[in-house]
Amino acid sequence: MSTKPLKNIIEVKNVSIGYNKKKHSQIVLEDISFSSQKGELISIVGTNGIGKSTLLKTLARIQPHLQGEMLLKNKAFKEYSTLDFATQLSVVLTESPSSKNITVKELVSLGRYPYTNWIGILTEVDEEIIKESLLDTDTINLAEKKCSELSDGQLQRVMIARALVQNTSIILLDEPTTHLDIYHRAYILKLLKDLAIKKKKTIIFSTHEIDLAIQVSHKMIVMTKEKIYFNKPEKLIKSGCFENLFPSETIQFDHELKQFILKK
Amino acid sequence: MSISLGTVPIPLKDVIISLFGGEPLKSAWKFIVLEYRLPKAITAMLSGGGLAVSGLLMQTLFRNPLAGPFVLGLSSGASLGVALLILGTGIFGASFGGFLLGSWSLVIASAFGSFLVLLAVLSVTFKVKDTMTILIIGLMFGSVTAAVVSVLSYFSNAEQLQQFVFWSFGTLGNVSWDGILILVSCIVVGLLVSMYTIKALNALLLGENYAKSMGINLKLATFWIIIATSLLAGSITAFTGPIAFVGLAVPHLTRQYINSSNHRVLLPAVFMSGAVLMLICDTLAQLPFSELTLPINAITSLIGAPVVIWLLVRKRKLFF
Repeated sequence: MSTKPLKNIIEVKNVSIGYNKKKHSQIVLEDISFSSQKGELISIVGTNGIGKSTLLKTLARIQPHLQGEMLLKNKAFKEYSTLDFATQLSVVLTESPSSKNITVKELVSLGRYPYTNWIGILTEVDEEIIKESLLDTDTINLAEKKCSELSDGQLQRVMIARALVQNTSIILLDEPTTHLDIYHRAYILKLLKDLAIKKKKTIIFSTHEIDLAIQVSHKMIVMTKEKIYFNKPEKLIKSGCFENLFPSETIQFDHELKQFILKK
Repeated sequence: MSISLGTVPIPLKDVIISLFGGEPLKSAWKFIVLEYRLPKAITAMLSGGGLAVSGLLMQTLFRNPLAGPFVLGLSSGASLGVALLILGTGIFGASFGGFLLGSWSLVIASAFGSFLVLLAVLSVTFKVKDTMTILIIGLMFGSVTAAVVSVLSYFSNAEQLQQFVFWSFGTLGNVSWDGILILVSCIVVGLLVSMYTIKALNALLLGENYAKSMGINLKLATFWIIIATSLLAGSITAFTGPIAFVGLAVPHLTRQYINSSNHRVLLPAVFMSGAVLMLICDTLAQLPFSELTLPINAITSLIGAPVVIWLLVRKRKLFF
């Protein structure tokens, strides 16, 4: 083999997440390890408050990680400058844009900021990338609309378009399917899978749609208080980790159907 | 227009003649135009534009449509400086009060006051991350300085109180050509710094976390935005006294006819609108065909407030 073996885009080893307080740090979850390669769609599932958002924010460097090692393309996260990091990793957060007056085109163009000059002039190349992302996310017909005029599903697609425009190898999304109906939930997840495969992106997202996530993800991170599982969905089902996810008196995981069902 | 109106009405034709170096009908008119009315018009445009831009910066930084240049306590800081000068001399002995009370000492006192409050706010900025908290702290600083001003007023005599109240009315007419030179340089630097922050301002439209994820150095950007604001608002307040409303309202007015949130477009547009609005307010303050001149601070609010209310009622919501 002349080429080196495929390296992991992202590698997380024994990381603890949580908050830095004045004197001590409050750990939310310990010993998280996973790694991801190019073109993988990874979902993070777990109960409310388990630390899904905290994990994503730690990966996005919005929060510091407390212990362990985090590598991006074999280089420690903290060695990247803010600007370099922005060319490697983009985010779609649960918070909606502060300005509602901004148009879709303007919002998506902001994704080019790590690449534009000091005053943010877009070149022809930038314009081309923006157009392509609008096409990929099926938002080109919304380009001149204001964000206040969009539905939740449309806004989510626009935010994904902005992350795409940032042209990073990794995209993180925090609960991209909340507030959406079943069709749009499926639509967004399918879009993410397409982008992962066609654009060779590593996409990591948190979700409460465990059933859909099992169908769509290449790998899953299942967060429970006792342990963090990381594997392919089928293997996770076999290992039985979904059974322990919720108290079993109300809902139960069905191995045949690969989904949760209400207990009678 | 603005130049031709005033206590002594001068025909528009003679104004233009004077401006271009000719001799108008009465030679006194030329003096009035060049030494009084023209500086006043220039001050009006500079202060209107500068205050409006600093309002825009604050609204984007704090992502709050209610923010204005004075939320950081700049004007209250200026008031405190001036109050200490005018009212304080009465309390701490009037021995050197007389020679301190020239117009320049007022400028220095108010600049010093706003600078002090700014330093306090800036030092907090480095400790507190959340912009909402900075906003509230700015308001608190404002309250404290306002309270000190009240205490000072209580202990001072009527004459000094009147002098202070006159300053707080705001005036565009007290700025000489020397003053304008200083004002222009402060505003030019302020505008240059604001231009430098345009990218960060645009990114902030999405929120702080998004701005950071797009490679914006947030702390540095916040620092420069606050510096720009205080340079603009601080220098203007120092020369003209507090002028309410322009900073808050003009950005909203501008957004009504500029269909863009891009600060590269908004910034010059807001400056122009502020300059024009202030010139109109100044013209109206002259009370055409009468010999009275109203305080500019009152006029800006009298004209501006109904406009914003009308906009709110029509649009139901003020986006930023």
